[in-house]
Amino acid sequence: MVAAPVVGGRIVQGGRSKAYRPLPTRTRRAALRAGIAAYRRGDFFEAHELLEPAWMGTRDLAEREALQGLIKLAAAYVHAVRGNPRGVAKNLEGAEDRVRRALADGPGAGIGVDLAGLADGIAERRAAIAVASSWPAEAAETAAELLATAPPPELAPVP
Amino acid sequence: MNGPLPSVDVAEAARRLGDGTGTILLDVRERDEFADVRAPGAALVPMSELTGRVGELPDRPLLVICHSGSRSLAVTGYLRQLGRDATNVAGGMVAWARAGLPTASGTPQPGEGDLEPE
Repeated sequence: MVAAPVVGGRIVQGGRSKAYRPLPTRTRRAALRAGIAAYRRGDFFEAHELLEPAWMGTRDLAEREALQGLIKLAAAYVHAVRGNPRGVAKNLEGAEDRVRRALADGPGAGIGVDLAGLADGIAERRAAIAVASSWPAEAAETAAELLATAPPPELAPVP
Repeated sequence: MNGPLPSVDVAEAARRLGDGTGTILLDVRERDEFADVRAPGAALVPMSELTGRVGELPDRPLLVICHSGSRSLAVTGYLRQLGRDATNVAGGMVAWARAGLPTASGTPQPGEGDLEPE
């Protein structure tokens, strides 16, 4: 693992200072499991809330990227439920970006989720949203609604 | 929208392709993805070209497939709005390959991916 430097009780990541509230591995894993379960049952706000302490609780840079990817993914679907397409697109982009960065550290980046499959699933969703937004108005609206209510990208275990 | 979109899994899609109804497997991924891996006999109309080429689609049942099911969902909704007999293939080529259904890869042969071959 690559541990981020801690300065004044905060993490330095990508040149920026981020919150760091250390949590034991077991507690982080429990939060991750609960967050994934919430995501799978479509409780995206709850997933976001459960994953955040796990993210703030580790110095492992790859794990932070992976968890932040999941947090942004959950946030995207909070926006989808609320009918905010710009919020969806922005958070999906952030999620894919984080997941791909975490992938550089290994297929699961320590969280046991198939990040390669997830990055693919997010990319696919983004491509669909991007192309459909250029369609005639009625078709674009239908597509946006279909994509917002379709099952979200899968959080599968590392194969 | 009237109710949920019709959707089938890859096994049902494969069955319908061989049932004599003239069903077309419509792959809406981009050309480089089609070259990587595809279902033999699939017709290629990338989602990015679809609105300009919708008039080319034969009046036959269409099974819409993509990588993992997002683009095909949007395209199925679009085609049904136009009154076409379109059905989404859930799980896309990822599920197709995982199910052990036939695939081809490499640069497509002339005619491969055409809407009305032979």
